[in-house]
Amino acid sequence: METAPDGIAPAPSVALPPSLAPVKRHDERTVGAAAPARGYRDLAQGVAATSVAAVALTVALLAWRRHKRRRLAATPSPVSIAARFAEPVLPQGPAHGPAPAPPPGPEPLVPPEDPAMANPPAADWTYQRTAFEAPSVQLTLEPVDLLPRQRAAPLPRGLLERLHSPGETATLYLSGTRDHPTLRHVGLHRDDFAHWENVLREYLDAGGEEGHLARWLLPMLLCQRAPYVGRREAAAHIEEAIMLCDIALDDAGAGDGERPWWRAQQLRMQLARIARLSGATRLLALRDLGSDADDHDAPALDAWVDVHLAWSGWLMSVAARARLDIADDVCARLAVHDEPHAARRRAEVMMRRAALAKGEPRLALLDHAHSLRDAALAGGEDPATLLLFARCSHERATLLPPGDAAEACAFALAHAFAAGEHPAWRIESLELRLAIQLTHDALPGQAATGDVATLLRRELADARALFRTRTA
Amino acid sequence: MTRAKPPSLLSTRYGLCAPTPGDLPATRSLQLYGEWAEGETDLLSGLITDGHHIVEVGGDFAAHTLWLARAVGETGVVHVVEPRRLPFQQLCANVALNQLGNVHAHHAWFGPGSGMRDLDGEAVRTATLDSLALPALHLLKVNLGNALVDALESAKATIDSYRPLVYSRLSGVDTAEAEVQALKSRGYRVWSHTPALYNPENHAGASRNVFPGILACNVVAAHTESGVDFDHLAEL
Repeated sequence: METAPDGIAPAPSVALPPSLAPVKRHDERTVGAAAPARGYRDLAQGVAATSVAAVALTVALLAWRRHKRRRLAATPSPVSIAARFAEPVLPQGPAHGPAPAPPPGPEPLVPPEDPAMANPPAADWTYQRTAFEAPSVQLTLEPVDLLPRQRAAPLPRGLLERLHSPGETATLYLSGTRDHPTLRHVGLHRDDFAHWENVLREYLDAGGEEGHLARWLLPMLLCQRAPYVGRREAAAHIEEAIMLCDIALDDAGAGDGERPWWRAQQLRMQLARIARLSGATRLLALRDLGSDADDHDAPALDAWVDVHLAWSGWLMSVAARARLDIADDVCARLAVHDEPHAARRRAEVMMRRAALAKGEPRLALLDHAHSLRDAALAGGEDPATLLLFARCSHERATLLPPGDAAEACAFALAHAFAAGEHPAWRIESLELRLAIQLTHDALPGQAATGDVATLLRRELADARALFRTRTA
Repeated sequence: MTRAKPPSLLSTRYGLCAPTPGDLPATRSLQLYGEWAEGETDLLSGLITDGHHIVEVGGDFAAHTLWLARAVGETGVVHVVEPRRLPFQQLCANVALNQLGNVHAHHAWFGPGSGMRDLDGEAVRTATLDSLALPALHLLKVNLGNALVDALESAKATIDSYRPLVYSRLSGVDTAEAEVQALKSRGYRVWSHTPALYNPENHAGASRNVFPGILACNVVAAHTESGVDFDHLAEL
């Protein structure tokens, strides 16, 4: 086997990294002077080999660096926002010592903006309440929280919070002011009242706002429950409601601001009792209520409008119109205190007058009621007022020529729709919208498919299906 | 000699009544139920208001007069005409018991002309309603049988002037058509009103029905120009 001669270093045939390049060993034997030509040739070969090795090394180094850059680009480092939520680390040192100076950071790369190019200063915004805002007593007391977590300690529950307990069917609603809200029932079952009645009775002797609210609401609740119970039980409920009002009225001093409110409440409870009497007895009981001339405050005058409107509903013809004249007079007195509300009540009186008339006089009365819309809604667009004018416009539509009737229907629909945004008025709104839609579809020249009416019927049935069924 | 204890007064729905012997439906109803023909007053309660002037023909022991007197208030007036002597006295007793200052009782028969008329063996004075010279008349209520046509005849001028509502009990099958026609001939529209004599919600709270299935056959009439319309009743 032939071996390489001594003193000849093998030329690298491949480029090697510098760590692997051959190095000259000190103990290698060198060639002697006895052979100079061979020495020169060996020297040239060595220089060439060294050059090739250097070029190969450079190429290998460049290739390695390029490969490394590609790997970095292919697998970027993961982006994390954890640092943004990290709690600031307090310095370990004396609790009240000066804060350590921040470490010197790099100079900002972006030059400061020209002040002339900066955004204009923000306007000084002030929050103002609007008519579209839900009254505070209708607000959900606690935001919906779908994340299960345990509270450290349960918060004490207030009256309103307990009335609106989760799991109870929503059939009772409060609206109006926080001190003197109005209760509205939209269900069909006597048990709708049980939870509220229990809670209100618990707070009946409490002090403060919650006690006052319970005493204010319980008479209304008892009266509204009366139609769903037997005759004797209903009479007992209403008598208790009247008694609660009498007590509250006695407790309120002569100059007490609560007194007119309780007087109004007392009148309404007595009206509820009278409404259950037979016609002849009812007439005498109405007369025993006294006269509106003895009351001068807005809440009581408002209740007197209720009395006269109800009374007129039990009368016929001339007698009914005479009673509505009296209601109009009370509205005029009410306007001194609250003009928008008086306009709304006058519209109610006008609509009752229209119900007693026929043909052109009826339309004229409805037009008069309709003209009070702007004045009535100046005080706020509450659902009851919106529905009143929706109903007025709907009745006008039945008397107007087709073109005007379609416009009146559109007006009525818009108002009924807006009223239905409040859950307490949703079903009444849907019923009215369905009636308006049917009137509109029956107008000459309307290519009605009945689709909208069908949808409204379905929506109404769905809404009603949420209630308890009526008891026997 | 021992004297029988006098029967106590009846406490009825609209006031006190002297006990009345007899088996008339009105007296039985007052005794058992504390009211009489409440369905009639129920309908009329929608028509009567303060200050009205009312004429009632036939007192019915003031069963409805007590209510009418209160319904028209202090500014209204009720005239009651009772041709029979004893019922007239019982009427006056009940009016006095209840101190009804706005009730005027008349012992007479309302009919055309003047003079005397035989009624069940008693001579009764005949007078016209026009002779009362009423300043107004809002309701003519006829409770007596066979009295409607004569009453209308006796009130020509008053009816022409005031066109009151008329509420009347019909006298029977034989005369009902003539009575309705008498109203229509004076420009009236006539509706049938048939309330049950037994009221389940009676004043005494009595559940026993001594008038099972018995209805009163009445009419209510309004002049065509009055604008009154009883939509819920059958027009005759």
